[in-house]
Amino acid sequence: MQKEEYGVLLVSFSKHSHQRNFVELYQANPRTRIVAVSDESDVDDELKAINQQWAAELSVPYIEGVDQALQRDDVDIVSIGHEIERRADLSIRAAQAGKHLWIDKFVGATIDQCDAVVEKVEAAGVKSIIPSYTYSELVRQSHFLLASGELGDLLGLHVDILFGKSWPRPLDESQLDHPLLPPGRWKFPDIKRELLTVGAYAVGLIQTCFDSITHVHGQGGAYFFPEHVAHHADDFGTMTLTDKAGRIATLCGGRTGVASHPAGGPSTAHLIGSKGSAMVDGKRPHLHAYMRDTIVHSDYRPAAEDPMQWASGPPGMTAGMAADSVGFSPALDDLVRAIDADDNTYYTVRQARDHMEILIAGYLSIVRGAPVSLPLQREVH
Amino acid sequence: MAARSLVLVARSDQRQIVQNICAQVDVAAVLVASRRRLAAWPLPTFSDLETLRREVAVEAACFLTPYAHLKQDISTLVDAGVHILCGGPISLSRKEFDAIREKAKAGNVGIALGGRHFHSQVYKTLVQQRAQQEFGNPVYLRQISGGGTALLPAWWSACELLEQATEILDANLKTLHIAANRQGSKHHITLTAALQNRSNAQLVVAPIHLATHADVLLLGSGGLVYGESSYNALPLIKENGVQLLSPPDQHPEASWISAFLAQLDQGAPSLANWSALARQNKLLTAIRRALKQQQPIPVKLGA
Repeated sequence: MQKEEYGVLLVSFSKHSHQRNFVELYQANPRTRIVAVSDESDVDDELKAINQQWAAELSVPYIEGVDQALQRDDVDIVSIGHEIERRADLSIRAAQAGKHLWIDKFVGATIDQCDAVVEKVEAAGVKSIIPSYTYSELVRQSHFLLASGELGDLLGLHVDILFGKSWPRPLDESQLDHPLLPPGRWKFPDIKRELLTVGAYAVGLIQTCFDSITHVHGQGGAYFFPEHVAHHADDFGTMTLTDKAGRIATLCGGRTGVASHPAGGPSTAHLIGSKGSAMVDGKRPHLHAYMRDTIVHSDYRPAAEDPMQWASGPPGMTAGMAADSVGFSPALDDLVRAIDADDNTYYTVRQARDHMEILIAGYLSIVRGAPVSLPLQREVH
Repeated sequence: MAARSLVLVARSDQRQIVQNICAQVDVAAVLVASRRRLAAWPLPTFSDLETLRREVAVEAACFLTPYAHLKQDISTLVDAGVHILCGGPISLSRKEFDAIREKAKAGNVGIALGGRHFHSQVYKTLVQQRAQQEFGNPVYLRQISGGGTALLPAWWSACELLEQATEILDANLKTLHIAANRQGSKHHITLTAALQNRSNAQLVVAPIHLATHADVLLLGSGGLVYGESSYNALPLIKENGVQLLSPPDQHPEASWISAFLAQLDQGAPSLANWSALARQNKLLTAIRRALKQQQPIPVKLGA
């Protein structure tokens, strides 16, 4: 049912999520209003304190126990920024309470969880959106080029997205040959798995330009951070994908250290067509910005309380000119439109489920040392 | 260095490369290895080797592209004592390889395959940057290059990209996977390589790309070196659109040819070893297989 204003419940400000980035967005949109912050009653004290702090800052109540918050009539949209392992259950409960869903990046940690979310959300008839992948400048510009028809038929898409964040340090060489941790455990207190975290953006773009993915080949083994080596978890990886029509995509994704790129890390896509090739830079349009003191007196180090820079950006030498390069604002407009019109958003939990399957296949391929076919056989996870 | 009568063998779409070579090296004629001739070219062009040889006393030939009759034409020219510089591998059996090598040796004919990239400023700069201590350990190389106008030129590009990757990343191949597709003659090939030093490479041959050099991204544990061919090109803005021109000194071919001609003065270079050519021939077979299978396939090229 269309409303003048949709109430948003912020569920968790986990440090592994982007909930903090969504706050201004909901505040700026004339059709949304933050009505409360909530979280499960079993979260650790540190997270609870952060949640309460945000609630106080936003002058809204903090409700301990998500089910209680879901009973509120003024909640229309649930913004889920919890740990990846809790998102599926939260999404299902929210959908069953008749609430629409804004989910940060991954709808579940396994394919089974993702499947359950798709089933329950579609059965509940609520709207869902995963805003991170398909509304960005990189995607918009790529779609613009494809729509122009100038490239001819798309044969391939090659995407390099790297986060120039955190500070690489010497590695324990004796640990480097240890096999990569299989898919399933995606984060630790000190790290996230970066082919998943960063490669996800490339996979999202590829999904929107390609047919269903049929084969995935992944490679890993190179490291930047001792924390990742210690957990045998990736901070960098590559994937090759082929789709039903025989198109080929390659990607690299990772966290590679500050000050290695003028715009905080490359975000590029090469589109290869039968009539032409094009390169899209998701960090453009921009102006070059060189400030003498920044360069000459630079002694930058990531903040001690955020060493992997999950909540902070790296220093750069460009001034971006896109109104919203990440694309959260058009994503929120899409969700509001979908609710108003009883339509689907451009990227629902169904696409997010396929997205996760591709990434899991990439990890399985790295672990097995061979390409993996999709759909995945259930017994492997 | 003695002046030699040099002919180029090129496709009609390699006009810019030919033009650049002619600006720096004396070229007697061009054999056009495609149906379309070079339009309004200021030097003699021929569409078949026989006619060219009747008109021009050829001393050296530089093949800028592979084509269906490459093997036969090279064999004919070696028989005639013509020195051969070839931009990529020739699809030869071991027996054919030995026969050509023996003929060349007997006739004191120089033959060199590949090596064009050693004269590329991009390649040289990448190697130089990688060698800096600050770069750290090589992690990843992305290169996107042209050449996929047909299967054989795509194969040459793939060979060159792979050779460059092992040199730039400074390690031997551990595993290689190929995926390929095409539309008509337009070929698109991706090579995904894992190297012995844990670095990775993703190399792409596109049907259409700027002629000067590849788009590159070289990631090390200490930083990133990258460049885009379009960014380094000269934008010419006109009423009917924008043209990107390659800066003239960025073409490696003239330097590559000059080095070969200079080498001839020191003694004829002999055909490369069989194992390198055998690996390149395996790559061609694998590309054909990948085109059929439409999925990433593992390739064993051998040591």
